[in-house]
Amino acid sequence: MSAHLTALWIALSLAAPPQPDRGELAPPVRLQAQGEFIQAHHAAPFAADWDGDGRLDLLVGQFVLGRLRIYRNVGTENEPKLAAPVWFQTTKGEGRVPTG
Amino acid sequence: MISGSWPGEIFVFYGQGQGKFAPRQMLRDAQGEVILLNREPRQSGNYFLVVGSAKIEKTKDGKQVVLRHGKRIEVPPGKQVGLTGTASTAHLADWDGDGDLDLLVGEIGGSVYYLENRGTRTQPAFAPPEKLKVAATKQKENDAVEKLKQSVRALVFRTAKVDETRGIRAPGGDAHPVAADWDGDGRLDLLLGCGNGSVRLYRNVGTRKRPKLAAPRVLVPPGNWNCTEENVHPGHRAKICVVDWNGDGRLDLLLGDVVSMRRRVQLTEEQKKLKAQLDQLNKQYRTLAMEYAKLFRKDAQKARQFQREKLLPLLRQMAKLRRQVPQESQLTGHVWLFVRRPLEK
Repeated sequence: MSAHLTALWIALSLAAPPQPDRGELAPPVRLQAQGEFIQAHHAAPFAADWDGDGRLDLLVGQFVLGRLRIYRNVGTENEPKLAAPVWFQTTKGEGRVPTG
Repeated sequence: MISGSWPGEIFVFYGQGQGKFAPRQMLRDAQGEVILLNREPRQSGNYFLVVGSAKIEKTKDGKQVVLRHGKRIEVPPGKQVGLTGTASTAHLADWDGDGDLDLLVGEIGGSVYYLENRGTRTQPAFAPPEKLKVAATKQKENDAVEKLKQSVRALVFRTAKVDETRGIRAPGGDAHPVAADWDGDGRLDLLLGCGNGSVRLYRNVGTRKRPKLAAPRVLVPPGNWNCTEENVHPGHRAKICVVDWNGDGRLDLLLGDVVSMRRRVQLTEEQKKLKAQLDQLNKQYRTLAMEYAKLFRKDAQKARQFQREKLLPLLRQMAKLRRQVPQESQLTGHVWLFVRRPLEK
């Protein structure tokens, strides 16, 4: 019995997938805008200084209709605070990518 | 601004200054071809599958052709044509340290491709895609314990052994590559958002101009597909952005995902009846879908007729009912911030 358990322990130890380095990143926090959690079907975030005010804003793409929301940072450089989103516009209407 | 897409093309919105952007354009390579991975049609059973933004047309003699990027693709007789996509993701970075922006592209199968910019920063000319790989090391190749571990892992988890020296493979597919100097050594590393929700770090152990990727390290573990309103956690298909979000001088990680969110729904008596009907139709659909699959293997023509006459009306009926019954689960996604802990002094 104990031989079986030892064999099982060895097999499981060897099979253990690579473990994440839990020391490097703090536990995740869900981002909010104006007190509401940001929600988007297949969310794809990108941070950039969209409006050139020296603070990082947040762009969030989504699968549904290939749309993109822009959340302006109305907080500070160290403590971003996101405003209500607007849809990304081009010179010829809303900018989208095809989603099939 | 650049974006991947479900069909697979890479789209660019050129900035015009003062916050204005031109409408989207498909990104082209040095030969003027639209950049599209896995562009060759492939056959799967009776299907003839074509990726990319395309449409199907019938010729006067009843043949089917696919029109894609101004070119015609003939569909072999007897095959059913299907349009599909590569779910491309795109990231621009100076991967080879020559001062211009190269292109990294991920795809649904989990591979990552590098397209070297052989032009300039203002007039890019992208070379054909080249798979990014983990650099083989003699030490690893001869590491008997590592080989044993991989074999046992494959046996226990019934997964195929993944040798990333032949090409990076995101677990669960849906690779999203991002280049960033994560370890601050002056060389771009590769961070990879994966279909199973994990994020991997491939450190650059080569040089700034000739990157060589080490075996991956898991930065974020795989997520969970299902969650409830009371217990929300990171999900699948991690799309990432590496940025110093809190301005402390260290790169942080933003992660977007998709989850199936279950919520408590109180149904009225009328809605309960409709839900029972919907469950019944779901059962019928499963039976008919199996019949369709069997028929399709024998006769694609008859299968299409079966689809038109039996399956599609049922699907329409189900869609109508779904609109009237509040759903207990909903696909959605969130944006998660993983702040990098400060370095220990």
